[in-house]
Amino acid sequence: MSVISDPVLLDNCAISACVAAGAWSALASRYTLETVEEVEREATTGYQHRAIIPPREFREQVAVHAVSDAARFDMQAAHAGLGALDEGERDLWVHALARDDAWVLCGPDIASIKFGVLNGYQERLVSLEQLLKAIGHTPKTKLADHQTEKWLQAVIGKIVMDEKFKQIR
Amino acid sequence: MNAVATAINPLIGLRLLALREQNGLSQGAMAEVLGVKSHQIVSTIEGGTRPMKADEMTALVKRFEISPDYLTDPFRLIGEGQFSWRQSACSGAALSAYQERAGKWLATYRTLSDPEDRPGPRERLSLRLWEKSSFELAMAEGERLTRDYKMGEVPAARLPDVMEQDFGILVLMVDADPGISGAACRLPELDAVLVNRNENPGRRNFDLAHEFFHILTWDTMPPGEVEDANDNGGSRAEQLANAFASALLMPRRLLERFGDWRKLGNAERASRMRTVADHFRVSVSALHWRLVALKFLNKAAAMLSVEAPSDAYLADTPPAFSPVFMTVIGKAIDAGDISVSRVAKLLEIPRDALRDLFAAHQVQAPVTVS
Repeated sequence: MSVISDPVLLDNCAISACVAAGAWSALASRYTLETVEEVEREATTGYQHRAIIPPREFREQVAVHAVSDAARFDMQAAHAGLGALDEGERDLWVHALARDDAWVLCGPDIASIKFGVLNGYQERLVSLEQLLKAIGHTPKTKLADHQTEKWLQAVIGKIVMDEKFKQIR
Repeated sequence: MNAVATAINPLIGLRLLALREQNGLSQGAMAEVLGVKSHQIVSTIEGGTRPMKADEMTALVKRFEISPDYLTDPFRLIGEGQFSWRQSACSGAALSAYQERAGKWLATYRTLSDPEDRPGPRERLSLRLWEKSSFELAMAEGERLTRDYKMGEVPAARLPDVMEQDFGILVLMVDADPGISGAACRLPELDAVLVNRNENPGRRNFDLAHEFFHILTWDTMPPGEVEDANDNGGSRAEQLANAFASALLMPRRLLERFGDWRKLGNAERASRMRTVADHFRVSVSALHWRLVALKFLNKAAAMLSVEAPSDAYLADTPPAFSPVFMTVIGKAIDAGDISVSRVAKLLEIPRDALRDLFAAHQVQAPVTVS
């Protein structure tokens, strides 16, 4: 499997899973990791009882983007689906939607995946397992099902099928 | 950037309309706030045919000092829903703040549940009672429901299930501020009762039955926005609600099995009061007044000092929310209609407590809840 050379956008679900699997340093050393300020706040403060990455270390490992109120409003005006997401997940998509370069996004919540699929970005979605496999890293702790490539593809397939059925109805 | 079809978030127009009506503004006046040329533009935004621009949303947030999410958050009630709070010594500000939190839970359920899948009948059921109805009739209706809906030997135990499954009323056990016992809430498409799960079981059950009455008589006797839980008098509707609740929780036919009360000495009566109150899961005070209403005790009979209920009885606190509510949440997470982190924030619990909450209601937790 080839290493993904595009910037990898991460939300805090992906980051905390990676930290919990003992794979954070490996991921940070091999990829161009990027995120948004809200995710940084979550990752560096233990939001919802998750692992904490020291702020300075985080800034050294991850490029952090600001999301302005205006940018958020613009995207929210067009995408009702952003309302299903938590603030970090939402801002990550607001940032991603405005980019015109290549990127991939790792956000393992089904609502985040659904947002990506329904907006035409399913090819940009990656699992934590895929990212780690590509650099030949085996996590110390087994990844949860929803961090695997098989699970991600099954979820994408289901969302696509559900949408097709909706259109037929 | 990927080619994404331009869409319009329909919620924004609806929220703009609600905000304008709340503030009594014409479309022309709102056009000035937004900095757009005419009232027709406001009309098209409200109608969902023109997206609102970022600078217009910014102007709105500044002018009305609203949260930026006011316009886009599907999980909150804006300009809709009527609440009737049962409380004691709770400030108006505290009630308002709590109502906003409660509104989020109800909006979450409404947004995420398919109306076709909600339990209970599609139509609203009501009681044929009004303010001039007698207390006897209100009590008879309470008793009738226990028979018609087969509520068994301890009606309090079955009441939440009957309200949800047979009447389509969402029952939520919630953590509320001290002083807030619960509330009845009516939305256009949904009725709900909230009960402070940290109250003792007797009070909790009485509140639930009392609010059940308000839901069933809302059209003929709309309850007040705030009512005092310690007030045994109150309006006619409140008195009828209390009569209904006591009869529903302690039907005559079940109370009769506990024998004659008039001939008991004080010690014996106090002991039996404790036993019977615990059996029906009501307070001793509620039992006393029920016995008086049934003329099993004289009006002049003293309210006895009765041994406190056992610690085990008092510790019987139900898990937060309800099985129906958590089933909807679980399905919505699996369908990608809401993210797990968003759920945790709305329910005001950490992510790692979510799995336990699903388990407490015997609802399978989605795989992403970890």
